[in-house]
Amino acid sequence: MRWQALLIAFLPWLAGCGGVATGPTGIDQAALLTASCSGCHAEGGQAITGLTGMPATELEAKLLAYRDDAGGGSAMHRMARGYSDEQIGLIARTLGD
Amino acid sequence: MSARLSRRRLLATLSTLGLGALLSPASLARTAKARIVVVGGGFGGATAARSLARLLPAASITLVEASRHYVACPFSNLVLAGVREIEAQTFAYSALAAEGIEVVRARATNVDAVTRTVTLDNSTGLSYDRLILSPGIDLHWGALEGYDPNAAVRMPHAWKAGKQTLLLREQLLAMPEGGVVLMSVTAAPFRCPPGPYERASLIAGYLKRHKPRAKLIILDSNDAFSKQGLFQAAWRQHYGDMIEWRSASNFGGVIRADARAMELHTDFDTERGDVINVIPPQRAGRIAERAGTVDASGWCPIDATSFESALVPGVHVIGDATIAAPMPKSAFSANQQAKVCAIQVARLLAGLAPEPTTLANTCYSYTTPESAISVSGVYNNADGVFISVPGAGGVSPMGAPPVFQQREGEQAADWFRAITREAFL
Repeated sequence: MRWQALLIAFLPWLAGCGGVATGPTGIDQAALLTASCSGCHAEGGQAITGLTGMPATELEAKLLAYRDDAGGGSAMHRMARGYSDEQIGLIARTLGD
Repeated sequence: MSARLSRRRLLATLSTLGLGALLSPASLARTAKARIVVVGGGFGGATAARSLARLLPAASITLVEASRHYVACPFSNLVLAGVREIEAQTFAYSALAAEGIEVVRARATNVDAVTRTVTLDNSTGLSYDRLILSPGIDLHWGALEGYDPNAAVRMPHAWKAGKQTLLLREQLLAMPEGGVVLMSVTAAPFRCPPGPYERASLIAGYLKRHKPRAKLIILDSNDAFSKQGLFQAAWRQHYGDMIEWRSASNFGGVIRADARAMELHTDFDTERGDVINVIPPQRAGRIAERAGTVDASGWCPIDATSFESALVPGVHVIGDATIAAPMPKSAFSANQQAKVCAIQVARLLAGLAPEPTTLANTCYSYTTPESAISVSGVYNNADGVFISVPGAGGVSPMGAPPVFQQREGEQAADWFRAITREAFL
């Protein structure tokens, strides 16, 4: 039963401590890339939306639309232009549901 | 169920979350005992400590910070303009302590990179496996002739938020109608590249409302500045000819401050001000120098992938103290560098190489209390250096309708709420 005890010990961490803990949840490329997102996108934002509960496909489509809208001038347009298809897909799968 | 099988099941569960590598039995043993010390409780240090506490729940994470509260610089220009209170800028460390971070209220005075020990001003020492320095800036007193801590009472810098912010606000309030506000801007690099010009905008807004015959002169040691076209367009639009900007080539650079006479001297002439704000020369916070991580420039060279000092192994440096150009010295950069650095430290402790990635930054600046402009950048950090991603980043569109700049003002407010929540709340 030791593994269960260990898993239980880590559960609050894996679940994001019920929204209390902040910061990255892993040490892979997905965690590194999404470190750019969490400093702005929090729940309760009005002009910068939270990302919780957004389907991954919807998030990916939105990021691609920002990147590929040549006339867009918002900060998200300007930043999305720095990311590849693969990076946008990984960000969407990591943050989306 | 055998112990071997159960461990495999645990690791399988964790690896689906991308954490398997971190928690292999050997690396788990290493990280469980790890001692990580973070020095400096600003946006960088607080975020780094929290990120590490989340990534390495069994490790010992200590945050060393001399102050009981942190007073944030972003949005402090709104305090100067009288449209925001300093309390909204002030954050405690109680949330960090509640997450198991040992918050030590002391000043770090020395680092021995050989014995891997940080010395505190209460004479105790902290040993570390990995040290993260997030010391911010020190004002380089005396680098501008005549500008020292005494002069800063008459001529506040307000470039570290708190008492200095309130002092400059009081002086603006007390200034007679028709008075002259002088601002001196040091040569780059300095904390918050667009900050002086946001400050000029918001002070002009206050003057326009309360002292409409006043004048604001920026004496600049630079010939160009962040978001210059957007700022100058906003100045003309909102403040007419109230703001005069004098560039370095136009003899704007201040070479001497005379606090007694309330005068700033340039190569060409002398300007007298009723209120004088000196944004002085800066360098990495003193502990970075004590640790041996500062080069001749006064700032800290780092490996951009791992944030490890280029000069001292085992010591990572993040935030304003680093040489990270083209990434600016901003709270946004410090917060994000902290998260990436925490991941790389966790990887190193688990026996994994630091992994290159892509980082981004956006700096919002208010041109009125409701409207903002922004500059963004995206950076790859492979091979230990930051490189701007071609075709990405840039500034807000010129000539955008007022609703666009109001929207950016709202985005700035959301950004401040999100970043302070991630770092402190």
